[in-house]
Amino acid sequence: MAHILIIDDESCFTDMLSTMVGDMGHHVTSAYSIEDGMQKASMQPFDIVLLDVQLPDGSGLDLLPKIQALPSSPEVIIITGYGNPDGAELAIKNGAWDYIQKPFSIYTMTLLLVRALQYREAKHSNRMPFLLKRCGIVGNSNKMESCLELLASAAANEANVLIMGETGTGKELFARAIHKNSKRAQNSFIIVDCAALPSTIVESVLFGHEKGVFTGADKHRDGLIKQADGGTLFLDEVGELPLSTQKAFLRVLQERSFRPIGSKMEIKSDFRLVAATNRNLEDMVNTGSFRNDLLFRLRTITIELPPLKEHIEDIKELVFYYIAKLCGRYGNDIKGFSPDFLEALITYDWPGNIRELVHTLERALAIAHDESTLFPKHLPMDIRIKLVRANIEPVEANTSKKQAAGRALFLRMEDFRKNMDKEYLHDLIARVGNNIKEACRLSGLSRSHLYSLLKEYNISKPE
Amino acid sequence: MLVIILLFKGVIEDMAFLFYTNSSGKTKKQLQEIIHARMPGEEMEVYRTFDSLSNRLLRPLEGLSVAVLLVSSMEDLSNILTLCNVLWDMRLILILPDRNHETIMKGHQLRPRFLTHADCNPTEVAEVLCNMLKKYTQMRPF
Repeated sequence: MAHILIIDDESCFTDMLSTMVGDMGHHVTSAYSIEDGMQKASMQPFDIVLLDVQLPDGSGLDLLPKIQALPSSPEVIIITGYGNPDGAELAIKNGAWDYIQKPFSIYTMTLLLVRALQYREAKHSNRMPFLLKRCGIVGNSNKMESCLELLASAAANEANVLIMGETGTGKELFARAIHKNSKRAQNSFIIVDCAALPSTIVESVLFGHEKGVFTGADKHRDGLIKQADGGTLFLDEVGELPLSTQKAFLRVLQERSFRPIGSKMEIKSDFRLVAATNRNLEDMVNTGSFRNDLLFRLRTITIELPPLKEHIEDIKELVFYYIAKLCGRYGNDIKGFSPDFLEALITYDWPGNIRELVHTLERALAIAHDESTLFPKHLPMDIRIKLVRANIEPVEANTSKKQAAGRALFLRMEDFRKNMDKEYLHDLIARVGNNIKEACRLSGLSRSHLYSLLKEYNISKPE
Repeated sequence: MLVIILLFKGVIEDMAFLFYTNSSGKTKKQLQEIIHARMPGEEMEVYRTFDSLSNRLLRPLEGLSVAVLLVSSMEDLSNILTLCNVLWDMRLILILPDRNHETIMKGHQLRPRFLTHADCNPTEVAEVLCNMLKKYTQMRPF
């Protein structure tokens, strides 16, 4: 039984609608003005609000956002005696379930109510569990939220899932999170790294084999499909599966049973399938390197993970998370980072996605050593160079005269290197003061080599 | 044959991986020999005790992304499982001491990319290792 609130100032219409909704088995409350409606709406939760536009104390459309902000967040159906396309558009844009014009048939209203209630039920059943185990998935950007909603939906049922995304976007994390949030969480999560398995053993690894069935089969082997019984089978890089194996695996998906190589017995396995790829499987289907019928089976639910550059607003949270994780691994105090360090990370385009970010943070922490705060200078050289180049390239492109002048003054490489060496040595001495031992440690130079360079460039030696 | 080996070496010469074994069985010897033969240019960091493995994983990985763990016993496996929180970004090849269901299920808790047994064909492990090293180096655009 649903709770329906009718807000309409026409009492005969409200009575007729109340009777109709009551006959459908729902509980009805009536209100005749905005004030009355808002008061009743805030006193108890409602599933649906049927809202008139023309009310004695204002427009029902103004009430719409307030109703939607209620804790029960009811679906709102706008009812009006005056056809107004703009008003209808506004209502829908503001999140109304539908807009209906009087007069309408009982059948139309019944259908509308049934659909709205079905939608509401589906929405609640698909809603992300309050305590979704994120299993290391970080980020609350709109793109990540959408992926998490799909994750929650996938975890709630048994459908096959295909996770797509560039390398380093977290496909395995998502696969594991689906498993951990599913009813199979207590059973095994079995990974099949399709790209790592040589084609000669992939079927044996998946299906298992009997002893002596081929050269090298000295022992019986249980396949991973059997090991995944009751749990989740994760086919990573599924696009790398050989065509012959794709055909055999398709049969397993259809029948949930298989025959180990050399065996006469069919074995059943109740596994849930999650697959992942960084390749365009549709293109592979078009070129004949991936089976269309398998792709059709794999993508009952598809989750497309965005590259990091498309949810860069998550980078701060990612940096906090992974710095804490990495410092925890090394037993160090958690380091902070400067605003320009974060700015540099935001500016970079992360072709290797989150995995590249994690490696970068690891390298920055190693470079920073015992300094408590990370600065852009702690970023690996290759990233700093890319950032600098990205900053100066547009200027170079627009200054052809400057370029011409620059060419005239272009240094010989030997001279350029000498200038750089001299600058480096000045910086080094400025940093270490009189501590020659520290200068040798930082520069990696021997004491004698360092002294000879200082002499060559006429730089005062530390005492 | 020589050409093939050299080409192969060219692909993987700057790769490194970690090899843990505290077992003294023939698998360890066979595996090391075949890895050396297949990947003459590899950098293999070998750890022969659980403590040394544990200490290594508490230091920066510096490019190490693949580990071969040759587990000697159920106790050894239980110990390795305590390192789960520092193995999160390593791809594991796990070689289990036996084929018991309990051992296998416990082994999967480490989320290995390849799981096999001590009495396996070592060539198989070496091939998977080669593929993983090639793949994870090619995948790194940085």
